[in-house]
Amino acid sequence: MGLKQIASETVTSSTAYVELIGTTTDDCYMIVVNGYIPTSDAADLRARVLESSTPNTGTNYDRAFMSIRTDTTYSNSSNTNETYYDLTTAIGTSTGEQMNGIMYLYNANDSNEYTYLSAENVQLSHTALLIGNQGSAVFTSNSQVNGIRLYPNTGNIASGTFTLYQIED
Amino acid sequence: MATLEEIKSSVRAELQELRDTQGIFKQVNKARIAITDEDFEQMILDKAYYDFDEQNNSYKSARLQQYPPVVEFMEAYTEKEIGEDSTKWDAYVVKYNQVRTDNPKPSE
Repeated sequence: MGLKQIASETVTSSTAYVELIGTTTDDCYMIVVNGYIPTSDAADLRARVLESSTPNTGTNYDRAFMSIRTDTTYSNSSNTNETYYDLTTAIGTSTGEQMNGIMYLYNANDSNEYTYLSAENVQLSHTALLIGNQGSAVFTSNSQVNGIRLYPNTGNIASGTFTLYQIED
Repeated sequence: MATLEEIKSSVRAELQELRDTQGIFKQVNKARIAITDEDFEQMILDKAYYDFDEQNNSYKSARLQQYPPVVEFMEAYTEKEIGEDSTKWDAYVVKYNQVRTDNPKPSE
């Protein structure tokens, strides 16, 4: 068992979308987000699956997340039938504010199964508040997914490194 | 308040200007390339829906983040109901109302 790098994109100037393509086997895949900073303050990081390298924008995304916070008790958030995965909350752009995290994709290549995602990430939000997000999501369509698109809910990606690994048996 | 169609129109103008003057790019296969027209239309929709939701609902998340902790509510309520001391409850009510005043509904 080992990690095989499939795709990696490093953003250093304003970029609307990052696409990681190559979930072409039935293995589990791992996505590492390192140092994601949006161009707009308080922007989330979202994702959509790619089918034949085209993003699916249908109402096929369900999610359930818990946010563990330093300022108050934890909060839960969940949605069904959205048009995207929402992976974070309100990331900041001031010094030190960013998001880092790991996501796992399951069944992406299998056209007979939904594509599942689990995620955990750490962020300093736009008020320099530490939040740890732990959660899960599912793309409720039996289709073959060959990658993922990552993008902010508003503005662009200012910087960050986004890498897709195959977890080989 | 702006309608969704009004917001779509203003977002289209804003993003078209950005596309014309600075370009809008995506990064894939280690290449930085201009987004397609299809991507651009989706970007307009995504931003318009986001802005529309912010206009109508951002007060809810702001209130959730600013309300006093649940433990504070429990302690204040319990002391009032069981201990017959409303000091903490009265302070909690002031904080609660301040959050709602600071983050009004768009129609208020």
